[in-house]
Amino acid sequence: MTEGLPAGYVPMAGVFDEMLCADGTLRDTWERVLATPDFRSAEVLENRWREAERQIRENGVTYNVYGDPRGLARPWPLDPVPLVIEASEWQAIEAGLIQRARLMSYVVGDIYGGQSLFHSGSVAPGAVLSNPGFLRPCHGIVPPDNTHLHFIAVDIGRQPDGAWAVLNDRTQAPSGAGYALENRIVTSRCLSESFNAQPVHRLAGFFRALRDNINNAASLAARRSRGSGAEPQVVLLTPGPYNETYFEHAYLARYLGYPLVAGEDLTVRYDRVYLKTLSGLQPVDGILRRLDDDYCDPLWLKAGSALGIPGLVAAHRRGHVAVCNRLGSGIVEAPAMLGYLPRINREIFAEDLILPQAESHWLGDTDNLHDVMGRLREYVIKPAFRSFPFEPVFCDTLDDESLEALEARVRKRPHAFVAQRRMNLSCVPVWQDGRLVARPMVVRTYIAASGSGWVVMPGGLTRVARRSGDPVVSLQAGGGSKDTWILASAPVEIETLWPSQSEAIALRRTATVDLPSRVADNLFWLGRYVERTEVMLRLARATMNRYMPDAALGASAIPSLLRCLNRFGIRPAQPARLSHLLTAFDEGLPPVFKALHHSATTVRDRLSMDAWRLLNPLGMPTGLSNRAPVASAAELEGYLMRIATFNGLAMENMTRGLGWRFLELGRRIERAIQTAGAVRILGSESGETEPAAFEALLEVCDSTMTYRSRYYTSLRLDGVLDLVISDDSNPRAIAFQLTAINEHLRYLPRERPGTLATPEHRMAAACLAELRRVDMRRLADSSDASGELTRPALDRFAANLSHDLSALSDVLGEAYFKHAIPALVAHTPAMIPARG
Amino acid sequence: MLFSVVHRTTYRYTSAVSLSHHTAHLRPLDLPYQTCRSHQLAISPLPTSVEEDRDYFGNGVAAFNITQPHRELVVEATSEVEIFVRDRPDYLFDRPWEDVAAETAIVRTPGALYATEFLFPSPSVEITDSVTAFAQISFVPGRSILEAALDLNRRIFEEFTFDSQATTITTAPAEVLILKRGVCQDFAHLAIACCRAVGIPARYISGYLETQPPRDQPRLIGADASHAWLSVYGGNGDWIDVDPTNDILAGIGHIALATGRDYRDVSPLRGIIIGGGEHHMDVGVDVERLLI
Repeated sequence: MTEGLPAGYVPMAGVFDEMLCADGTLRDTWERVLATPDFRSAEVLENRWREAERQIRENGVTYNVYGDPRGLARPWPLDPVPLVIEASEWQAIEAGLIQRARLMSYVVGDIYGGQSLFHSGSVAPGAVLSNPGFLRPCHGIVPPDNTHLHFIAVDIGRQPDGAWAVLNDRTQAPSGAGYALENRIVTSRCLSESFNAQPVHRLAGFFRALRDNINNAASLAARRSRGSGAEPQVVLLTPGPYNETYFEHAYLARYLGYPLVAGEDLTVRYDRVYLKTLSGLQPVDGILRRLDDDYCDPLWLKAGSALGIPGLVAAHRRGHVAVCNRLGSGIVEAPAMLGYLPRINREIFAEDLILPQAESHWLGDTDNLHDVMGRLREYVIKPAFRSFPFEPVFCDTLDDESLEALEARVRKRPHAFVAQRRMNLSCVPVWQDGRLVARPMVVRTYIAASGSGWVVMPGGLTRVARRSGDPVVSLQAGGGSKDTWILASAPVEIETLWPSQSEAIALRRTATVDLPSRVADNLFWLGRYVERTEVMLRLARATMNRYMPDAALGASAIPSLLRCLNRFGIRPAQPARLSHLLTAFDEGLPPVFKALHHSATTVRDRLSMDAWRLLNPLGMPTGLSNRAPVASAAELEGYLMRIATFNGLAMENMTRGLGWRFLELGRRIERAIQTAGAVRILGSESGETEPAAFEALLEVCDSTMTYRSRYYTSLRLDGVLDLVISDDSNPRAIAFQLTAINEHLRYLPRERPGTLATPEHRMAAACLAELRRVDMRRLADSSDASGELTRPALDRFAANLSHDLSALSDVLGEAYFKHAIPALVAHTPAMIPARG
Repeated sequence: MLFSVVHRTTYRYTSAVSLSHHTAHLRPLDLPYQTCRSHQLAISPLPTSVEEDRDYFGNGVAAFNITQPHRELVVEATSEVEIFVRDRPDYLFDRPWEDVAAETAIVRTPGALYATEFLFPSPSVEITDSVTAFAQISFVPGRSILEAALDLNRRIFEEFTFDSQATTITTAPAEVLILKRGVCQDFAHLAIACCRAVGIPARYISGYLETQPPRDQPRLIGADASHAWLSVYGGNGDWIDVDPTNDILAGIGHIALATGRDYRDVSPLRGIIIGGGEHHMDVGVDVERLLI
């Protein structure tokens, strides 16, 4: 009998259970894992797992669910209990996967080449020709390394008799490998005792093989397009932050060391692919794509796709770029192909499939249709092609009427459907509400081409259904995931992705690839948003402090502070009470946080893990109004600390490349604009409210200490203005920002040393010169007050400065980010000439 | 019969186009009854390169891109094509259309394999219940494939009105069926959808039609237009070219440019441009009969 955690676990009837034998005893592998202290009791596991959940949240491991009201970035669902597979069992799976990879690669090469499979009758031609994913413009393309599939995923499940079988293949841009890696990192850290209690295969070696293989393909392409001396450059192509697995794209890009690019970052010239960077076009030789086949080129493939690169097919055809996997490779993952694979393998390789697959029939074949229609109830009806929106129907659950309706529907377009024998998936324990429950599972495995052979990832992404009765295991449908431990027969070596390199490398001080214009644009705006958020938080804190019952600070500054906050969309209801203020914060802070979070998301692959961890929680701020004032103040303080730490990290940890300069430029320009704005409002006070307002201004500009050290008691505006506007040595002063801006501009690619050649540099220099020219005592003078304005000169000065800096920001954008803006207009429909 | 064809397309943009990529299907096909004697493509401004190739369906396709900023693009294709007289495939009066459908349902011959390419719905040819119902009036049981094809051709000609304003290039066959109006492209797509709905492969042909000037009037240069018709599989490797816009079998005046599943496979000129703002397009086709 079982005790401890497994006590009370109820296996599901009729299916294989991963943890328990048929007689209810623990399987050996599971016994060893559950015997470790991590699984000693529910409390221990809960405790350790809380740490894992925190890591997942802070690392921003997310998965986007389409149509989810929570919007982008749902935390990644990871279960603490790993799936454990014995070495001997895995060996058979591995052999089966390698055999399958070889088969699928052959099929893709044949369909896009000689099509002997049609002539021999091994495949019904219609199963391919009716597939919208069969990309005719890609026919005849031979990849430079002659490898049609570099990276494949295969979903496997366990049948009731304990044998593994194949459910699905993914051959164009398989997802999930990055999540598998992240699952491993989190699980092995949080449950280190059980992880270390046995030899678990490491994953790094697989990724190294994958990277070597892609690099090899890229270097062959580079040789073709640029000659033998060229150093290959590979990029990871993403559809962007709205894709369901964007986290993974950024994660893998960082892990593999490839720049993460969007379609708009790339351009095709002379049938070659280039990356648009700040210093011009740089050649690209390899593309690891996460973009689906037909979206990759709006000229040759799906017209109107804004995600792709016009002309990519032509570059691909010439072998000037290695696309992994080759365009059109999705053809073999179609369920329509499944039924033909065992036969092809027998005919071409004279072998039966080692891993069986679900019995499957493409209904476009007349004989299949006839056979299946007689006994429809035994099958699951699925779409023949992934692009066809149709949810699988389990026919045994239908009443007679619905079954007839389904039959009529299938008969109308038989080529669009397959009939598959239902497979009852095995169940695995999942930790839910403090106990283990049985849930159906599917394991996604990964195979990479390696030299002339294949490498299987010793692990995988195990996915579990949300409910016990769910026939479909899908993360989109709300399921979860697990780490997958493949036990080794001998102790494993610890690997990293860095190869030990014996040969010398050329030392370099810059990244192999220049900064893409789009990334520079995003970093610039990240800088602006970070600063904007900081100023807003400072204002919020200053205002809130003045509401506190024991406030030593002048409450008379509140109206002016509220006017400052107005500019950020924070408008508390009247009368201005603390509770109203907090409610206004709850409404006003999230949009600014969201803008910051979004802009951080777009450059996520450029931020260090630590930097990302700081900004990520701002994406989900918690409410302030329903807490005690002290707690709200602490929360605000917490946000401010994150921003301050981020700025510190950027200062201390980012190399002084162009990326850093654009981040800085954004930050400096925003700080100067915001300070000018605060000066304009708080500096306009006169009479009794003057000291309170000036005090607030110093506080918002974080210059109180410095002022006190200089002037002791008296609070005079000219002193304040000198400190927050013209003092070069004060990092908060506008003069400091302008000096920094001028300095950064000198290093940008358009500049020539010693000249003020560009409009942006001339503008920045003029702002600084204007500031130097102005006497702060004259600005502080209120003797020429007119109408509303107590100090017209100050108001004019601050307004002009804000205006000029905004213009500078626009000019910079025009100069450096212009072609980063998605200006691509797919004119295909309108480019159509005469119609007869 | 020898023809000279000049096909000139002009785009004018309101603001400069900084980069453009294009593909063109403008080279006349070589077929048993048609020979392309010469073909030239003149592009202004000068593209960085022009790559000519055969596409999947065997059509000539040219790809070019222009990297210099421009406000006007002119693509002029000049070809000389010889067309031979074709016999009416009267023997197809004896072949029931059901036999043709059965031949492609289970592919056993290279001819049927090629035809299978044109059996399924394609991006511009969607098959709906209304299309099937319309098709079944022509494809009645036991009728010969030629008779059925000619009947469909005639019905589209008689029941539909030629109207260049009623549809756009993306109008689906089912919509044309409701509008009862359209241009040659719409009629060809509809007829193709009808054939495929009953299991008969049919392919799209883009090309030109020589138009006869009215008696005693000079031939107007550029008055002709690009044209479209279809080819219906007649079984056993035979194809029947029908022109539903004119209710005729394609003949001596039909000059074929390219063939594919539908318009999108063979659009004469397509492109992706960066910049450009609004644009205006002008097309002139001039088909002239030459003396041999």
